[in-house]
Amino acid sequence: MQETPYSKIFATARTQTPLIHHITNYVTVNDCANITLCAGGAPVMAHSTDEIEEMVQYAGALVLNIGTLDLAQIESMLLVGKAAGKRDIPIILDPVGAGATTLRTNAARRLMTELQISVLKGNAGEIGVLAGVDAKVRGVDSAGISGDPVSITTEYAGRSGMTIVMSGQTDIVSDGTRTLLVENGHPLMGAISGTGCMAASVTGVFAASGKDRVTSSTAALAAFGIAGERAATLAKGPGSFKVALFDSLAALTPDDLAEGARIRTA
Amino acid sequence: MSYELYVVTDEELSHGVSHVEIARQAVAGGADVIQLRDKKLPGRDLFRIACDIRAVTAGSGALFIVNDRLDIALASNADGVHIGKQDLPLSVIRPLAPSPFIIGVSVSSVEQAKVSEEEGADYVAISPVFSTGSKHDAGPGLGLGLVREISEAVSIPVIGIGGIHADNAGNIFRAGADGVAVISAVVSQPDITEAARAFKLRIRQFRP
Repeated sequence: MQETPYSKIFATARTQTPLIHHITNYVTVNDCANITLCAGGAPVMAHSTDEIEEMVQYAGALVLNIGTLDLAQIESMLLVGKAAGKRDIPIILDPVGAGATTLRTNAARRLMTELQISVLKGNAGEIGVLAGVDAKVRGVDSAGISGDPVSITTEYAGRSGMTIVMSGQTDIVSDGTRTLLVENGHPLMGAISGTGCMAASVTGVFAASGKDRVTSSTAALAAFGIAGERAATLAKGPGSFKVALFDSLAALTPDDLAEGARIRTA
Repeated sequence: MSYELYVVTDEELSHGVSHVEIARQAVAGGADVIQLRDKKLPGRDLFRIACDIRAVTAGSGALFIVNDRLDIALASNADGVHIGKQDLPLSVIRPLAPSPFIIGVSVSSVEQAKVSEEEGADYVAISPVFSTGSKHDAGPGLGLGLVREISEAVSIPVIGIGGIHADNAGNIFRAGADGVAVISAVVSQPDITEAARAFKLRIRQFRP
């Protein structure tokens, strides 16, 4: 099997087992820890301001997720994010529910202003709201976006300085100069909670293993999507799908990624 | 002369490291340009610091530019001055400056960049390219699209500033710029020399 830039990053993750520091929500925290292991990383979930600066120095990436945020958690995220920035540790921000409430929108904006966010990963509604286009978010789910998602993602990446991942049936990844589309995945991924959070964790593992954020994020989404496709063939429904998703990602090899990735240029 | 890595000094963002020490460490790490920027210090103090930075940069190959203050730049024998929209206009400054003397101008549109080139600017800085936390009055990011348009519209060097870190610097060069100006991505780091050196390596890696 021919090695690709995507499979190469995955192989690096598998051999180096980067520590992925999370401050994430309590709905899916255990799923994020397990998917990190399955993707080749080592998870740690630390959020106390007494220890996070010490902990993050060992991390290969930092994943921030505002799914169940409160004011204390935002302070923790700012503190750990600044420590990560000083050490050039990539930060992945999942702005869960941005646009649904003022607290969430403002928290996401503050994190983006004060920290060096490398990758912003959200659904169409969340990214749309943060990009300033007409978009709707209901609960934590996207309820639509007006305009072309590819142009919105590319344009927003081009003026924000972040690599933007807009997840959906087709995932869009852009740094403003290059825009890639990932077509891996399965509808059952939307039938369980936490697949978005897990995608951010996998993105963290790959970001720790390859410096180019567009390539690493694209590889992460393709790997997670292929695992979803394989899991769907084994599952009877959402419950067994979730178990199969972990198993499929854990069994995935760099060659499988090279072979199964459906990635094209926008 | 190269504008590839242009480091702006800032004593607030450096957590107490002095302007001169920032300059010394950044030059050691390979910075191409040092800009002294302090909007609060009295002229006499700024002059003394400018003379010290002149001594640090002399013979290093790095350019020394003073922000806003033509008087300080001339008195300290700096290589040039950088001016923004609130400062004396380029048309006034150019005749007062000896030759060669670098004058850089902050711009936020293609039109401003073209006018600056016609009036004799040596380079233009697009500010801010990305949204940033370093300057509170900087406004929203202007984007890589404008970097590309301005790079195509003028023949003088184009520098991007605002919200730039090692992760996204490559995109600015890909969009056609000749340099990136940074503050926090270098001066806020625990080891400024190492941060500058790492930044230069990343630029080389990503430069087309």
